[in-house]
Amino acid sequence: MIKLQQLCKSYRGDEIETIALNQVDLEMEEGEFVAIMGPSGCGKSTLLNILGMLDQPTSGQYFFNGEEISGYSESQLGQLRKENIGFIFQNFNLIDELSVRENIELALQYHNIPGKQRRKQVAEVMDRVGIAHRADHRPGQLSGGQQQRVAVARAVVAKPSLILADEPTGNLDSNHGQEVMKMLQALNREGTGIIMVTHSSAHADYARRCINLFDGQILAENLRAVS
Amino acid sequence: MIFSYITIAVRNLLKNKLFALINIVGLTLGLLIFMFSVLLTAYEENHDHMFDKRERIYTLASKFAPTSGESIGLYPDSSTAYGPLIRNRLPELEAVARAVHRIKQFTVENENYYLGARFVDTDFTRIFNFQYIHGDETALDRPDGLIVTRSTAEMLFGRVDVLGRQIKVEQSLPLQISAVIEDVAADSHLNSDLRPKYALSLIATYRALTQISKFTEEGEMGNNSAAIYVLLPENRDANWLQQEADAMFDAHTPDEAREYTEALRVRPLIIANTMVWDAMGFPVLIAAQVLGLMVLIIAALNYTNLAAAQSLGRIREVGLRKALGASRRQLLQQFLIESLTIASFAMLLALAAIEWLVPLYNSGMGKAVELSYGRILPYAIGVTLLVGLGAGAYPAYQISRHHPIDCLRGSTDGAGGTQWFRNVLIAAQFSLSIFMLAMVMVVYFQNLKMQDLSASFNKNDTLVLERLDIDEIVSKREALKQQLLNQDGVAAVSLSSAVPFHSAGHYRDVSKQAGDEAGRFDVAFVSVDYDYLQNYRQRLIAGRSFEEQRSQDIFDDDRATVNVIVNERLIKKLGISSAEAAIGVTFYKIFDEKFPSERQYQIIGVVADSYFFGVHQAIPPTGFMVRPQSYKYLSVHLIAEQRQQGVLNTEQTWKTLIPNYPIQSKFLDYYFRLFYRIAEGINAVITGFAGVALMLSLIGLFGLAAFMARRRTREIGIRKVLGANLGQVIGLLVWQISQPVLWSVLLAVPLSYLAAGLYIDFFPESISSILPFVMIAVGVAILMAWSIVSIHAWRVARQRPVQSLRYE
Repeated sequence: MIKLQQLCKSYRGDEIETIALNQVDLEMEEGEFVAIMGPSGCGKSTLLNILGMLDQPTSGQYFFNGEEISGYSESQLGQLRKENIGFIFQNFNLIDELSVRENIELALQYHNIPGKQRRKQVAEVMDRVGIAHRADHRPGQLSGGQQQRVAVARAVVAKPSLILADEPTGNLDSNHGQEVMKMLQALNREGTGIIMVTHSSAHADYARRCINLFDGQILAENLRAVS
Repeated sequence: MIFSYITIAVRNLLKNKLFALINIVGLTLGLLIFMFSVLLTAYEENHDHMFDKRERIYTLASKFAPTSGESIGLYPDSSTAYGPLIRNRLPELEAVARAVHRIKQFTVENENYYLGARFVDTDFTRIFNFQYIHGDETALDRPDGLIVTRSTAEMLFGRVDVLGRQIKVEQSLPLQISAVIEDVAADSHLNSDLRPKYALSLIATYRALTQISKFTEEGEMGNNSAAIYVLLPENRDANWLQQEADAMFDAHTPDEAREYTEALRVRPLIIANTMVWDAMGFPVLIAAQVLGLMVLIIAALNYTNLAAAQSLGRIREVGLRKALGASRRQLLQQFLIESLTIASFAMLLALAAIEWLVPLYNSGMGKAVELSYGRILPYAIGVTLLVGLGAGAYPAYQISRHHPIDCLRGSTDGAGGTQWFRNVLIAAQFSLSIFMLAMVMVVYFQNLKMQDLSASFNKNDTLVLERLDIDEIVSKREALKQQLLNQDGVAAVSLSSAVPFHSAGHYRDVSKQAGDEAGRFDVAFVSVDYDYLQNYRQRLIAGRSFEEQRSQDIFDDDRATVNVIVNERLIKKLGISSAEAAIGVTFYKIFDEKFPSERQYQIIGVVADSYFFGVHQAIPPTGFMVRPQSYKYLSVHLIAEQRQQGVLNTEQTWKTLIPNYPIQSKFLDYYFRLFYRIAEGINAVITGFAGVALMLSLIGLFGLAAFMARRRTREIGIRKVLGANLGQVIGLLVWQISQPVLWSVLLAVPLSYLAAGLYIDFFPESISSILPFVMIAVGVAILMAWSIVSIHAWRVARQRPVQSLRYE
């Protein structure tokens, strides 16, 4: 599903050039659950952003479903992203002015799905993540765990084939963290591919493959026994 | 502490250069326009300060009666008879003087000049203390005395020591220069008349006027051409003079004169000048002040709005200051001082701009506006404080009221209230902008309408020669006419007592039945020659033209019946249903000396209504007759392609035939412009104001859009991650900012509709509908708002989502 070849990303500051990713090669099959680990500043989030087409590499190739997309325009990438990828962020990235229901529905609004169908899908996904009773609350009125459940709901409501999660448990206590991981695991069992950046090796254990990044390079890659 | 606040203010300006620029430019423009309008109004309302006794000098103005048919209410001059009457009635007045302005021919060493002169009673020089270079205030005690101004002396003689030199008036009366005075400044009512040749150049005696014209020393009740000046004794006031003037008016004014002038108005000299504006029937000075104030309000709203929006971006700074122990009061102080700093800076820029603008205005408009800081500084300081504190108060209050922990978290709870307030401000700004824009269009199209109405007269190809009533010229007028007809470039020539747009016509009371005073009405009569109506392309809709071979067609004082051609208004007034039915109908003159009850007018033809007397007043019932005694003008209709040649030939013909009198000629367009340029001026001023107002609103909107987009950067990022495309993100931002703009329509539409209605009511024939213009103004404002917001939204929406997400 995903194939990276010699992928590089560097940032040019006033005086120095910072290399965030250095010659990364990576392949991922459809429906895989991959965890990316590594110390702060090693390039995890940069890698995830490029995988999610939120950012573009400086050089190298990125094949998505067999297509080389590194030369795609912003609107082509937007289209691809919309159809295939869901996102979960550490800081949830919910819109404060919208209710839980509206935040989730937002992901469908850009898919030209009729209103009735949208509402049905939103109701289903809210039931599934257990947030239906808070449907009309604003994000500011929810706990961190609840907010992340909303974020998960938003990520999956459009039924993407791949979910990218950037430290989804980073802002949560252990109970809530566990809860979110269970949800991701369940999604993966239904066939959704997941790439997750995490600091927690316990949470990385939910993934079948774990990639260790250091200074922008893949140090090690190992398969795990899924718990 | 204060210094540190100012430093922070300056640093903040430098940090947000775009906002700083928008804030300062906007505020500067607002202050500039407002201060300039204050300056201009003060200038117009504070004339004649060069005269020592100005506080005690009053003028007697005429208040026209509704039956007068005049389009204006108040007129600076009044009957020449009131001068001697008030002087005799009130011996305690220190001085009373009439001044009649006339353009006459003056001959200096065989050179002829047409100059405007004031013919005055001898007290004139006791009322106004001129600066004498030669001679003194007794200069006019001798009947042939003449005062000339410095520039006039230099123009006529090339020097100023011209005491005793002779100048002949109208080829007949010799006058002797008995004083030379310094030119009077432009801000005297003696110099501020809009009409040409009205600036003070020559002062002669009233006695001299009686010798060269039909004026008499005691004055004529029906002659409303005297400016009457009264110098009050120290112990009397204007109310007393008004009462006495009323009593004198009642005692001496005959009934028929009251139909024209219904009262006298005592007015202080210092506002004599503003009469020009008042007389127009449109409150120009007040309008200028109100518009200036509107622009300032827009600028202040703009500033408040941007400052409120911007202050939210500094919420972490506020949290930190609170955590370090700053009290709410100190924070309020800090933000108010920042706001004052910006306002002061803008005011300095505005004053610098005024320094540059005033000389420009003076040279363009022939004014002498003086930028006196003594007068303007209190205003400048007051307005700076008001705008600085007023506009800074809300943002300061808003930003300083949060809890420190909320501030540090960057929480913008309560921003909902701010959002609402900002929207109200935008709505207010846009209401005013739309209002002004609508007014610009209404005034512009009303002006076009006036142009259209005047188009039935060929203004550019008709040359009007004046002074055809002077005895020496009268005898040569037929010869002149015949010779001109033979010239290349001349198509037709005709004589008349009036020409379009210029003269008022002779009003006579008439009625349908002889002696029916109750049913009488005014008719404007114009004396024309046989070709006149045809030459001026006045369409005959019934009956016939005047014919030379019919002796009854020419006015004969000894014959009771006069043949006339009338306009449609007149037959309507007579209650006749059609033009055809009017032919042969007679109507009667009231008060005729020779035939008290039998003088009658017989209608031989009817012409279509036209704006002969100008487009600024309703078309009066009008009658044309052939009466050579009254001819004053010769209209030369030129062939368009040979216009230049025609003008040259006309001048040459005149010169050969009438060598003693230089030709006085003007294109018909000149008379039209005399009035029309006032309307054009109003349009230019309103356009200027409206342009600035709309620009302010738009840069404010741009600033706000920039700010809102910045605040919603993260949201934009999220939406893009979820699949929103460029158009959808732009639509989101544009819609958000459109709402207040749409609200503003609710206020602007009725407001513009009312104000525009007031304006067009001033004209006899107005544009048919105001609403389309108001709606266009609305459309223009909304479109401009959308485009400016879209441009910004486009910039933001194009960013990669990761940049947007990383923003906070």
